[in-house]
Amino acid sequence: MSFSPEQIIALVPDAPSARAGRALATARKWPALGCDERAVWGECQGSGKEPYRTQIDLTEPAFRCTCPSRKLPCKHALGLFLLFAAEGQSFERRDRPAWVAEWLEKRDRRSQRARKKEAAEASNGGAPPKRKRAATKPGRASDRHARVSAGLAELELWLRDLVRRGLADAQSQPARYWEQMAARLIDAQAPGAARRVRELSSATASAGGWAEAVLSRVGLLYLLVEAFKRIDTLPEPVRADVRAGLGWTIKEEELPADAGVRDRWVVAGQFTYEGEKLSIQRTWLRGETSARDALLLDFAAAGQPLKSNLLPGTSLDAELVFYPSNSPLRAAVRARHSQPEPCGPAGGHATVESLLDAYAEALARNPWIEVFPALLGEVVPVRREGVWIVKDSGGRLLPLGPRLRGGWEILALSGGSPVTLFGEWDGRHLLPLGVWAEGRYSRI
Amino acid sequence: MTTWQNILGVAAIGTGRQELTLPPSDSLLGRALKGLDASDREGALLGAVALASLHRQAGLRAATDNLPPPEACDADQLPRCNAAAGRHLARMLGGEFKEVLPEWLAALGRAGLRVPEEHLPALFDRATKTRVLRPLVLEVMGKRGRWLAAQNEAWGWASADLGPDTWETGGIEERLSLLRSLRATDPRAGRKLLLSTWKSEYAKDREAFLQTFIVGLSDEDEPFLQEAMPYMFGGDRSVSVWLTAGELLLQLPSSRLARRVLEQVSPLLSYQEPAQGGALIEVNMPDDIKAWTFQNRLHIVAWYPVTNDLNLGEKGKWLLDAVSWVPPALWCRQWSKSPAEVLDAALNGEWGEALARGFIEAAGRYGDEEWVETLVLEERTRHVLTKSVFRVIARLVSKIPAERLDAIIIKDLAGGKREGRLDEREGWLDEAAVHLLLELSQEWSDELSRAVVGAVKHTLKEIRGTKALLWHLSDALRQFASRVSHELADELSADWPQEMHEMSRKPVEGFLSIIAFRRDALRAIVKEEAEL
Repeated sequence: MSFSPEQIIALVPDAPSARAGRALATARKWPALGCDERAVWGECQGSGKEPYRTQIDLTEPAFRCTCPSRKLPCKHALGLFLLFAAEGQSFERRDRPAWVAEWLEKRDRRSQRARKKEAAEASNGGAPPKRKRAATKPGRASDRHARVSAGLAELELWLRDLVRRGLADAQSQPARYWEQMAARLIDAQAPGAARRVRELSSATASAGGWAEAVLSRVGLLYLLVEAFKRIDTLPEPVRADVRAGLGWTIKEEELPADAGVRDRWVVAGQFTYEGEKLSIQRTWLRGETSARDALLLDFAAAGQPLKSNLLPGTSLDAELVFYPSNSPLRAAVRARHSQPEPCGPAGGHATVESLLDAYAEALARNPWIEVFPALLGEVVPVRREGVWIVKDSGGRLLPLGPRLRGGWEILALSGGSPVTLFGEWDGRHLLPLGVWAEGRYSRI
Repeated sequence: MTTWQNILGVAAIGTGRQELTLPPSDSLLGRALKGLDASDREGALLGAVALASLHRQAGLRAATDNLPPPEACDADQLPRCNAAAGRHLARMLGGEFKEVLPEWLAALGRAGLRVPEEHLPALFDRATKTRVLRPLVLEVMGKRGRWLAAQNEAWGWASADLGPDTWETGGIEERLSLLRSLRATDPRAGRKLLLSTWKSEYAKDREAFLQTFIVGLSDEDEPFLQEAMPYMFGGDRSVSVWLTAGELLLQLPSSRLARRVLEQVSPLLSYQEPAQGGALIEVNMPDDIKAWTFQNRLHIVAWYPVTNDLNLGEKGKWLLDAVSWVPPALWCRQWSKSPAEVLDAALNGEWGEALARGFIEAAGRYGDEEWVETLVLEERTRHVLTKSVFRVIARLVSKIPAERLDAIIIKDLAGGKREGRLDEREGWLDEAAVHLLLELSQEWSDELSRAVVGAVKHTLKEIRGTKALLWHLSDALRQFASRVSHELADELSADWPQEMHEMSRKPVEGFLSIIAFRRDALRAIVKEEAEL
């Protein structure tokens, strides 16, 4: 298994860690180094008395280091990994020292236990796992349903109050007004609704056009409330969307076991949001044959690495399984059948109209969609009065935004000729994430 | 008013104050809205909001315009550099190892490659702020770069065309580069061009334009330069302009100004060899220096104090200036003595310090290599140099060719002529030596690289972990790193002492990481993609 420097750096939680890691990627810093076919290890002199012991299990990859840092991978692990990628042949092939062998054995035992469990469940005829937190246990489920109902009932009263008083009045409300409702919804186990209420509050603070932005969010919240009231009468895929809108999560293991979609999937773009407590990474895939879009979501606590090691601009043969939805987008990788390799553009919408039609269709099926994948096959970037837009062959325009991000880079890559652009469309702006120009992919 | 505006209006005021009434409509939306229960005001509005806003969002159509897009760029002839080199560039543009960027760009230009398109905007922004990068960027931007720059006013310097109108209509940058290129090929035409608009130019522009005259300077330029010099009446009002003109005139030994300076100043000094004691130089100081200056029309001497500090007194400063305008080789010729002997004699005499400082300025002004070497290596003048501001050193060596300076420094580091105790925290690399090294901004020769790095390693080994390198030296390490020969990187990184003071560790680590990066980045430029 070989990793390129970019893939390794992509594992790192933040830029300062990347720099620190690079600084340690020289043999000078590692008085002891070794490897075998499964693992890489080394001893690094830090500021303490004893050197730190760092090791990497190449099969995943997984890291372990005796330094006090809580980040994973720490700068020692990163430096060791980069050094191995660059100068692997200079590592001595040796027998594993005891501290490496121990760790690997522990890992093996753990994964064996996990596999045994899975096999046992499979032989039970696919019965749901006996987990304490399973939402399928009837007692628990009805508890939650009751709690959410109560919370949404309060939300409905709150929304009614909002429109009775009027938006102009709402704009002058203190932060508490919104925060209390959001906190109540968290308690009621509806975190998705809580997030939307918080976004409502920041929309009132934004400049020009705020009334429309606020109103459309109010509308979607109300729709969620009403949909939940009738949830039992809705078809299952729509129910899944309502639950997702409320913020209920499904574990990957709980996804339907029937066949996923196998295709050559192109990684079209990736967006990472680093919040205070939580980091979220959206990785967008596009099936070459099926022309389907898929969204992979990865989460990590702040400071921890994001697990996805898919690089935009590459494609791989894989099987994806989709989360239930009336307009399926979110997916998980069930199996990989090849290594990712660099690839060319994967088709996409020939016109802006085609994209907007697809968006309208998706919205009709799932009104709570927030970002939509937009792969535009042939557009030219143009700058009009300081604002960036893209133009298709029919002269139709789509604004890039919301911030001035990457416009000049896209223009440089295009040179006035059409390029394939991938971005996230939110109904008002296209956030560019990647460009294919002259056969090369560039991340924006 | 549209349905949406209607809804917006009621929502803004509040259903408490106004009811939502929608005109009947047969559209899809109209029919859906009709289904809402009008008796429940809030519910009806909320429902209307949900329906109408989704309707708008889904029904969004793209705007069009028929404005023609900019013309597409021609295909580039220069090949793009490989992906690894692109990654190095991305790191430098991101802030790491910024000091290596000029060298990297120059190497890319020599290799006949261009930068990847996606880095052009960041590169242009950087070169807009840092002027010295501009000519380097022009070499490696390719046609795509020129095309891109034409679309952003901030990057105008990259898309400027030097045409016949440039002198009249262009900005200062373009006009300067036009004048520079003219002086290199047809100095007379350059002079005529400048003359044509001389009277209407700003003073600071005039100074810059005059400075281009150093190229292709000849006696033909004398009349024009003399115009810019003051005599009793007339002449340019800006001091820096006529000083620049004066400097240029003095580079022409047959110009009237140069001859006047020689005639009037040389009799002021005389070399004496008394029966007892060493040789010394006596100064025939005029009583009224102001009158002397006016009489001899050597205002250039009186009105530009080279240094403002020092306890030299009025006459001392005047003497310094007077001597600074005379090519130091003259004294050697006049008295048939070597620079070392002249210096020695000067320092023995009454006006020693002023004379020494004057010789330093003169050596720099006239680029006298022998004098520069003597001044650097002689203990007593070295002492003066170390005390001075680094600008003095910069002026001293500004006209010396790099190879000569290289040789001088190597001699110095090999032991030089410095007696007296060296400070073990700097070894041979005292402040003067460090300033001299930093004046060599191109890549150092192998020999110099080894000598300097050897000196630093030696110093570290002497002081071990108990003392730290002197600040001026540890601070300069970073700059040394971007100048040592990058091909010797492996050799220069080896054999550093493990034991060193905490304060010295970071600068040394910085040094080593910079040369490692330079080696990797410069090698990556020429490697084939497959090899990487």
